Formats: sequence, C-alpha cells, structure tokens
Amino acid sequence: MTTDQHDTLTKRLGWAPYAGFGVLLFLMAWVPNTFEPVVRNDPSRNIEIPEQLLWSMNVKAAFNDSTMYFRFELPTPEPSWYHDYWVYEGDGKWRREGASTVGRQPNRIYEDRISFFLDDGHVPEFGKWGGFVTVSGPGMRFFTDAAADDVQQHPYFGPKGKKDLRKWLPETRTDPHDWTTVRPQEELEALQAAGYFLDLWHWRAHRSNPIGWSDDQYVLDYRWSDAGAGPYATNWDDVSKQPKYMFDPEIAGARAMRWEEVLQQAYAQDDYLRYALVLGNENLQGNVVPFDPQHTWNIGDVIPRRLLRAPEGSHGDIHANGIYRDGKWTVDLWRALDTDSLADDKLLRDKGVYQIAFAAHILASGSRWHYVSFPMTLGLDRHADIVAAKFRGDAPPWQEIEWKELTLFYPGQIDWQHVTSDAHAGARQISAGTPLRIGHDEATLAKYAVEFEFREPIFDQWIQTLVSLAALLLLLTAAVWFAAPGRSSPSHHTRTDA
Amino acid sequence: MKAGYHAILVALTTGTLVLSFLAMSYRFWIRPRKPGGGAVWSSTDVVAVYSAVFGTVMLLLAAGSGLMLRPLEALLNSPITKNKILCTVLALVCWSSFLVLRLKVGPRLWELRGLVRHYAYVMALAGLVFVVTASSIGGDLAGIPSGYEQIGQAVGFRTRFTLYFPTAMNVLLWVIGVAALGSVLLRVRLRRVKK
Repeated sequence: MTTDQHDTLTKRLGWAPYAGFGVLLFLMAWVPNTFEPVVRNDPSRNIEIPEQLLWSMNVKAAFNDSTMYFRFELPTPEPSWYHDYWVYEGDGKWRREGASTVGRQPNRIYEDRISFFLDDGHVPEFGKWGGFVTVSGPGMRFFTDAAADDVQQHPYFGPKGKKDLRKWLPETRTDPHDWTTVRPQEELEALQAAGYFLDLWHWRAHRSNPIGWSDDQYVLDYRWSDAGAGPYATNWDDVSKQPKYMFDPEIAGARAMRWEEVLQQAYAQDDYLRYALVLGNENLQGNVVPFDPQHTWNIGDVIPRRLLRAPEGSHGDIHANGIYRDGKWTVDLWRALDTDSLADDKLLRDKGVYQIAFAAHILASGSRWHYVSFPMTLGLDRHADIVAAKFRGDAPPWQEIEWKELTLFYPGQIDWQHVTSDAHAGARQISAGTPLRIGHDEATLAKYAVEFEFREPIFDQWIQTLVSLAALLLLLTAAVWFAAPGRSSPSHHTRTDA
Repeated sequence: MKAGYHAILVALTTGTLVLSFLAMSYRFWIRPRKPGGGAVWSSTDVVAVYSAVFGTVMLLLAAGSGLMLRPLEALLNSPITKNKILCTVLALVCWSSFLVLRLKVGPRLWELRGLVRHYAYVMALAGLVFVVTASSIGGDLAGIPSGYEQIGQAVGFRTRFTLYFPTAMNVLLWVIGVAALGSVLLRVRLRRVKK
C-alpha cells in the first residue's frame, strides 16, 4: 500500500479505535443486562422462573418455661387460603382442581405456606448450607429430571405409596447423592435415634391454619409427617369416586361452594367454615355432613378435597394462628419446648442455640417454587442470628421484641450432589467447611439458581459470544494489518512530518 | 497446580503488561523536544515490545495454570470463571493484535498518523483492561473482591453472572468484522487494479 492510500484510509480514522472500544465496553455492560435470549419458561422441563427472585419475611421468637413461640410477617399481594377442590362436572363426575403445578397455579388455587427446618447440631451440614443438604441429589419432585416411575417401583418407597422424591438427608443413603441407595431400615432408625433428622414446622394457610394447627414433619430419608394423625385428610371415596363429606348447609349456608366464586377468591379468610371442610369434635366446630349423592348437584359446585381435623399425637404439636390483613400474613406458631417426642421433634432448651432455615410459598406456588433463607442460628436467650426472648406468662410480649428481617431467595434446582461435585467451582470450599454465606449473598445465589436451570444453553451462548468477540477483534486487526504500511514501505506521513 | 503459582504468573503478567502500556503511552503521547528524543524516549518502544511479548507469554502460562486449578467442568460451569476465561481470551487477542501490528510496521508505528497507530494503542489498552478485569474476577473467586470489580459492577458489568450476547448480536459482530476486513481488502484490490 502506498503512502497516499495509507493516508486516505487511515488518517481520518484515528478516533475510531477509541470509539469502537468504548462501544464494545458499553455493549458488554448493556446487552447482558437488557436482553435475555436464553432464560425462558418451559413447563415441559418443569421450568418456570419467578418474576421476583427475592422476597422478604420478618420473624421474631420468644419462649417461656414450657413453650416456644414464633411470629412471622409475610407480605404478599395475592394471598391464597384456597387449596385443592373437587368441582362437579355433571353425570356424577368430579374433577380435581388445584394440584401442584409448574410454577404458579393458574387459578390461584394453592395455599400460602411458611416453613422452617430446625436442628440442634446433629445434622452438621445443615447449619452451614441450610436446606440445600435436603436436596441431596437429582430426581427431586418437579426438577427437570424428576424421578417418578422409578420411585413407585423402588422396593423401599413403592410400598410406602410414594410417587415422587421429596427431601432427604445425605447420610440416609449409602451413596449420599443416589436416592435409590436407601440404607436398611435399622440403620435409618439408628440415625433418627441419634438425632440425624431435621424438624420441619410447616404452616399452611388452608391445611390447617383455619382450625389452629400447623403441620409437623421431619426430614430423614424422606419428608415424613410426625407420628399420629395429621391435621388434614383427603376427602375422597375411591370406591364411589365421590367426596366423602360435603358442607353442612345449616352451618356453611350451602352444601358446596361455587367454582366462579372460588375463581374470584370470594371467600374471606376468616370465613373458613365456608371454604374449608372441618371435621368437628368437642373442642372444634365442624361444618361437614356425609356426602349426599342423591342431592341434585349443579355443574360448578365445589367441595374441598381436604378435610381438616384435630390432629393427634406428635403430629399435632404445633399450634398456629395466621391472619391475612393489610397486605401481609401475620402468623403465630407455637409448640412445647419438649414435645416428649424426640424421634421427630427437636428438644429446645433455655440457653440453647439451634440452626434454622426458613422458606415461604406464596403467589399460589407449590413444591419447589418457594423462597428460602440462608441457615441461621436461633438462640434461646443467647446470642444468635435470631434471639428468642425469654418471658414469663402465657403470651409473648411481641411488641417488645425486635423483628429479624429475612431475605428469602429462589433456590432453583441446585442440588447437594452438584455443589459438592467437581462440577461446582466451590466444591473445595464446601469440603473445607466454608459456609454458604461466605462468597454468596441471596441475590447472587438466586441468579445462580436461574443460570443453573439454563446452564447448557447459557454455555452454548457464552461460547458463541466468546468466539464472536474474539473473531471481531481478529478481523478488525486483520483489516488494520492490511491497511498498515510495512517496515520496508517508502516514506509515509508521520507525526513529525507535519 | 497450586493456586500460589497461578497468582505469581498473574502478578508477572499484570506487571509486565502494565510496564508495556506505560512505556508505549510515553512513546505515544510525549513529543520529543529534540530530534531522535532522549534516551528514555527512544528506549520506550523496546520496553513496550519486549514487555508485551513477555507479558503475553506470561498471560498464556497464567491462563494455563488457571485452567489446572479446578476441574474443567467446574470452570465451565461457574459464571465467574467463564467471565474470567472470556476476559483472558480477549486480552490474548488484543495483545497479540498489538504485537502483530508492531511487528509489521516496526518502530515507526508510533510515528504514524491516524488509524494504525491508534488502533495498536487501543488494542494494548483493551488488552490491559481485560487482563486487569480477569485478575480482579480471580480475586473475587478467591474471596477477596477488589474495588476495581465493584466499580465495574456499579456501571453494569455482570462479572458474577455469565456474560453472553443474543445470537443476533453475535452475528452483528461477525458482520462488522467481515465488513471491515472486506472493505479494506476490496480497497487494496481496487487500488492495484487501477494501477
């Protein structure tokens, strides 16, 4: 190339590289924050990403000589105290509405929930990594790779009637990440007797907040309910293919609800005798009578699929009172410090410190579509993340106790096998005992959870971007190289020529 | 591979490339008062080139040692390390581009007016930005995030989440690059035909 050519081509373009580099930096900052070409809801893969990845919840705790109390504040603009229902279709047929779905239940028929794991140090991983240790391997319910038929055919879970995988702890398997390798029953019982389980307090707005109880469960090799009768049962007769109970019209005003009113969420939260079936006893007002198949049912009549009832045994240890008002749930939970059931409850003591991790299901979302917290410490009148205040009397002085603000995050499909495997860059830190909170915050972890659900397409897109950016620079360099004068070129314009 | 070796290689990389950039900046911006310049001025080109060569080799070694720190699967699963890899590759491309241009033009590169000199300088600048960003991401990965990265995050760089473009954007990058090269080649061809 001659001097003239070089001049005309390049002389007036001295500014271009700076502008180009500026534009490139701008694009690298702006484009990834503006366009999201990969993250797409895909029900066929059990993927739905919540609109909000973070949620807030407040908690405070107190205890007296006999009882542990928690109070929660959970804001939610679209509360739900509705759960699954039978809807009459005509010809004696009832269809179920309100089952767990991928993401939000489209008709908003799924109850809100607040739950938390509680441990006394017997599950050492839990205190550092929280609920992730209960998602011990792939195949969990509503994961993209959810196991279903295999569970029903499994020699341990099949006979127990299980159709999917709920939570489990790693040591309950001979291979901690393979759900099929359940330890023999006697070993599981030994683990449980040694305290290797997580106590699970599980409050549900429909099952069974209306009657003043929370579900009481625990996690060992599965998410099991505590011993005794639970606070709800299924209102269905498999033989007649009809509900077992219906509303008592003298109490509820009608034998059934109406589907259009359910869809409009027309039943007030405190009017539970009209939207929940309650099997009464001497201490509990009921509102049911046996189902009347002779009644002339109309299409769109609705009967709850759940029957609430007074729980028995350890299953009924946790009492509840949840009220939705002014855009938020205020939920009180309480149970005895010592339930006298060490097989499925954690014993709480004055001056004790425990590990705890919270979760909330809101916006008519069930199963894995919840918001969870980092693990924290709960101290009974001891220094901890959450300090339970000691008081005398029958009711906690809630006004005097500070709220602990929790930031809950969407955990996606991250499982314990992944985070402890060679596929996770932080596996060595976990192996060294570094807690989840080190190197992560809630917002980051929620976005990682989303990336994890799309890791393969994101990787492909990243490779494409890497190659494209490198190619752009190489092609531009090649262009400039062809335009540049060589070492042996004749004289050309230089700065000192001017 | 121990992380300490990687850290040493990264430090050598950053140090030598900063030295190279400082030397070329002196040569780029300072106009000598007397013909031929002083001893410092005249030696800046040599310092810039040899530091760039050494720094680029160190960058390659640092990248290689970084890839040996963890299983490849972990590195390619981690958003942070993917961004680190992307910055490192771009830094290698930029510094290699600078060296290729300097190799072709020779020391007169700094005396040219217009595109070539500025392009070479911007390549070094961009290479340095990417190297420092990659190092900073490494610090974050090691649990010691720097203020540099926080500044980047404040202006929108998502160093903690995988950086990627939509396919249309990537196609556009290719189009721009091919168009730039094509127009230059066409121009050269036309000039030759005219002659």
